[in-house]
Amino acid sequence: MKRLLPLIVGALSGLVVLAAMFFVPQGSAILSAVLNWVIAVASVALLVAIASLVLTHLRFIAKGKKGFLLSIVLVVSFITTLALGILLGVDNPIFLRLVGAIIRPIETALLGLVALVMMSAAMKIFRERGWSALTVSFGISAIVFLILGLGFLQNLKIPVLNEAIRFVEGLPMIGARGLLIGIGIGLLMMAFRVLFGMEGSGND
Amino acid sequence: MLSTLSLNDQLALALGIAGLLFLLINLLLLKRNQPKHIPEPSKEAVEDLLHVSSEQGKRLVVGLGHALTNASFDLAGASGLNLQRALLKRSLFNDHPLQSFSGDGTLACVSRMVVHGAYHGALASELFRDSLSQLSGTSPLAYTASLVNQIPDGSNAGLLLAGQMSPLMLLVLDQADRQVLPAISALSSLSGQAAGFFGNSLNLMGEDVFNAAGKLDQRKSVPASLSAQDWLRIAISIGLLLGAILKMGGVLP
Amino acid sequence: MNLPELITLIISVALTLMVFSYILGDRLFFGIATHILIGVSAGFLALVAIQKVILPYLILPLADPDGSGFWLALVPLVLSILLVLTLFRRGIQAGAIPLAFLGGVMAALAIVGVTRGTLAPQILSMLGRFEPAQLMREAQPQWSAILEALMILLGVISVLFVFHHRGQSKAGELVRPVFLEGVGSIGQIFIGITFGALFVGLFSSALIALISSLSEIIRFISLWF
Repeated sequence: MKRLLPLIVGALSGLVVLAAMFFVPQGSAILSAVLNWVIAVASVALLVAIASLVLTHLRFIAKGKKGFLLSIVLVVSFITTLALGILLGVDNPIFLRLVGAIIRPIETALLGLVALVMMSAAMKIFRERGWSALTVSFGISAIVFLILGLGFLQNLKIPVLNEAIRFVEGLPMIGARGLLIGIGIGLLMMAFRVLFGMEGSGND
Repeated sequence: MLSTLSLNDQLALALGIAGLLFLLINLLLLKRNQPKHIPEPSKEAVEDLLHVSSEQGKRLVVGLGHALTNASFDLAGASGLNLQRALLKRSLFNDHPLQSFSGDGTLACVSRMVVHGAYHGALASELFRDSLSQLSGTSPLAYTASLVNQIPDGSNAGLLLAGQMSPLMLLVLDQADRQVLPAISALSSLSGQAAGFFGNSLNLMGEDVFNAAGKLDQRKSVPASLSAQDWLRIAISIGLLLGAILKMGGVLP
Repeated sequence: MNLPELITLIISVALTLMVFSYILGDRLFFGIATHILIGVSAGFLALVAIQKVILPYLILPLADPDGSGFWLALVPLVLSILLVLTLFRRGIQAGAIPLAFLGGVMAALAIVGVTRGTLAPQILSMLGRFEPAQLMREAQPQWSAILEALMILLGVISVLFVFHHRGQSKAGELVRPVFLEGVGSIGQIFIGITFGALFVGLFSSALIALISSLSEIIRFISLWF
């Protein structure tokens, strides 16, 4: 029964949502209620996970585990943000500005690091992956799109060239469509397995 | 009722029903004959990595991604859980069992249930540790940065990235490369798969990411769903060819 | 530049330099900056979740027992309590029910989303290329349109078959049919082209971020000279 109940709850909730989506507009009220429940439960799950994260780091600090100084930084940042948010309010412009002043530069710098990493990754790609249809077409495509990205070919305003550029710009969509359909097929099968309890937890 | 549906919805319904039928038929057929799937080299690499980690007495690290219920509801974000379950089952009693990190609250909770379930199933609930599955960041960048910090740990033998991740995970792959840590990526988004290719990792693409554990995942539904995927792929391909001919002939609207 | 702006700039530059210390192989300063990011974003998101979701969707409807939302709010309340129990070792299995609920709903959303939002539109958009009006104009075949439509169709099918791993038994060994091998190779070319374009797109955005970070540092330095 312990294992059966979650399976029944999962299948039932999924089938109700499927039926509600199919029988629009009659099902829209049910759908809206269920989606609100999902939003609420997912938010509680987030809080539970955050609580678990903070507890884990508090344990690291208490045990003096290697790297516990970083755990102190994390816990202090978390508690300070939480306290300031409670004191000033989440929508307070000063609070938002403070949070933005910390998050924005770190995120921008991390994204900037990606540019540097990509430069070195591009150099290594052929050494690591060898020469194949995939790597060669990747290399040519990257060079072509880098050149097209500069925009000077488009500025020449030669009709035949513009037609060729339009054709080349459409080529990445072919691979993207194929991959998206592939991912879609895989996801569809996974969704059916989840819905009918074939995924289970860890104890099967 | 069907007539009130748009062409897009009619096709969607047909595809959904076909997918379900293919899965059910393959589940029934499975008892008679096993489908013949050639193992994908990257999936074999997952198994090899597991052996290496056991031999070295070190742990594997799985990044489960950062998008299940965070920004939108996306089940593809849970695709790494199969990999986690399969690898964990084989490292339960190691000195360093599989360590997983999530970047989404719900994903972290499910992942913890998977860890608990694995120990419970092996009648070793007392060995379950909360820290084996952690939330490590609540935004894509915080999660990525956290993974970058986790990699240099000397007890790591390999890195696996699964689920939904932004292309920023290139930083994680770069850190793994710096630490000479083998990495495998099986990400379920197009940009993630592309980034996995740019980075130094064995990269799974397309629908292969949903069965990253390969032979390690021995549940009956796995080969059935792989075969159903094959059938659906063939059906879509034939449908596209026939549809194109009918469209040119003016038969299709 | 006023004092708050100066403080913001100093924080911004300090954090940026800490992140960039990664290039030199540093772990401490990079670790401090990223742990600040993790802590602050977790705290902020926890506040947002409480104030924007949990209070209006879960707590406030319960404050009015006569309201229509009261009974509806009981369901997520029970599920939430079960989820909170997972924080304790003994209560971890209680989480199976709320997580199964989330899983079931998300599976249903995925089935509808993927068929209605990905598969069907992609297929219809490809078939749309074979519209007779596009392929023939004034009784003349439009060869470029015909070639493009055919290339898209065959290209997509070839990409799909890159992931077809079903083999044939030959001399006791599983091998991939030669035909599939060939089609798969063509598919790989198209995947490579897509990855190349995505590489350039991602590189451009990352480069803009890098320039933005560097310009903050330059702005800070220029204050003193």
